[in-house]
Amino acid sequence: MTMQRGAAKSTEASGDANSDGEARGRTITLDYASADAPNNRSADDSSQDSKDEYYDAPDDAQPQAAVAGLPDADYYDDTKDDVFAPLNDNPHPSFHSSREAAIDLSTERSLSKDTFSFIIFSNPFSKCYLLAALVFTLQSFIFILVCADVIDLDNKGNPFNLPPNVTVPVRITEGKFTLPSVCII
Amino acid sequence: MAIIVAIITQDDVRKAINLLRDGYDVDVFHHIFGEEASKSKWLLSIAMRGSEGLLGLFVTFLLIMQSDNVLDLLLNFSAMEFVSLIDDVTFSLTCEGFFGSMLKREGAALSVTKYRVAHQSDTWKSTLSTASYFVVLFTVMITGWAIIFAKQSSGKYLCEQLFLQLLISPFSRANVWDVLY
Repeated sequence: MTMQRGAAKSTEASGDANSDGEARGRTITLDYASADAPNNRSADDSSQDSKDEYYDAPDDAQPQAAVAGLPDADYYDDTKDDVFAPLNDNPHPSFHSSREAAIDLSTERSLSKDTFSFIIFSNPFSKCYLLAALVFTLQSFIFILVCADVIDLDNKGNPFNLPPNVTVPVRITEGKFTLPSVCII
Repeated sequence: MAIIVAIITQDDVRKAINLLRDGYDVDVFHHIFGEEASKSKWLLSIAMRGSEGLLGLFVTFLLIMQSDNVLDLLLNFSAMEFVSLIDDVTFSLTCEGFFGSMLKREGAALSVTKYRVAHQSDTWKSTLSTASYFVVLFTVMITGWAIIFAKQSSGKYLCEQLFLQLLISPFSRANVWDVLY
C-alpha cells in the first residue's frame, strides 16, 4: 500500500512540475482536491487528514503500477472502510490487547523446567522421581564435600579459614560498594 | 559484586518461593497433573529446591570470603554456580532423550503442561513476596560480609601464636642462626 501511495504521489508531482514551468525549483504541495483530480472531490474533503490526499490518486498512476509488476490498483484501494476501520475505532488496539493478554497470562503457571518438578509431576519411585532424587543427592553431596573441606572446626578462632586481610580489588569483587550501588538503583 | 550475582543467579530458592507463593490447589493439581500430585510431594519439591539453593548460596558465600585473589574468587564462584545448574542441565538432557524415551516423554509433558492459579502474579502481595526474598538474602549476606570485613580490619584473623624452631647448623659459620620455621 505504501508503494502504491508513493507511486501515485510521485506521478502527480512530476505531472505538475512538467505542466507548470513555474512549479520547477520550488516546493510542490500536492492537492488532489484540485480540478485535475479525476473524481472531482470537493474543497471540504481537502480538510481531511493528509493521508486521504493519496487515496484518490489519478488514474494515470494505475498503469504504472501494473507495468512495475504490482497487483491491480483495486488491491491497494485504501479508501475501503475495512482497512482503517479498526484504527479509527481504537487508536491503540495492540496496546490494549497485549495488556489484556498480560493480565490473562499472570494467572497462568507451569512447573519450572528442572528435575525438582519431577517430584510433583511423576509417580513416587518412578524413573523420573528417582532421577530427581539422584540429582538432589549429587548436588547436596558436592556442597557438603566443599563445606567439609573449607570448614576447619579444630581452628577455634577462624573455623572458616578466612584470610587475615585481602587486597582492595578482592574486596571490591566480594561486595564492597554493593550497598551504595543497590541504594542508588 | 559477587554477592549480588550469587543472589540473582540462584534461581532454585526463587522458584521455591514462587511455588510457595502460588500455593497448592488440590482441584487444579489433581486435574492437571493427576492424583499423584499430592501436597506432600509439592512440599517435598519446595523443601528440596530451597535447601539445595540455600546450601549452594552458603558455600558460594564461604568461597567468596575465603579467596584472597580475584581469579580464585571468580573461579570458585563459577564452580558453585555450575553445581547449582546441574538440575536444569539434567532436565534439558532428559527432554533431549539422553536418559531414554520414557523420561523424554515425561519431560516433554512437564514442559508443555500449564495450570492456572487463583491470584495474579502482578499484585502487590506477589511483588512483595518476590522482593522480600531478594531483600532478606541480600541483607543476610551483606551483614555477614560486613562482620568479616570488620574482623579482618581489626586483625582478628591474624595469627595469635607463632612458633619458631631455631637450630645452630653444623655447616654454617659461628653465630649464624638458621630459622627453620
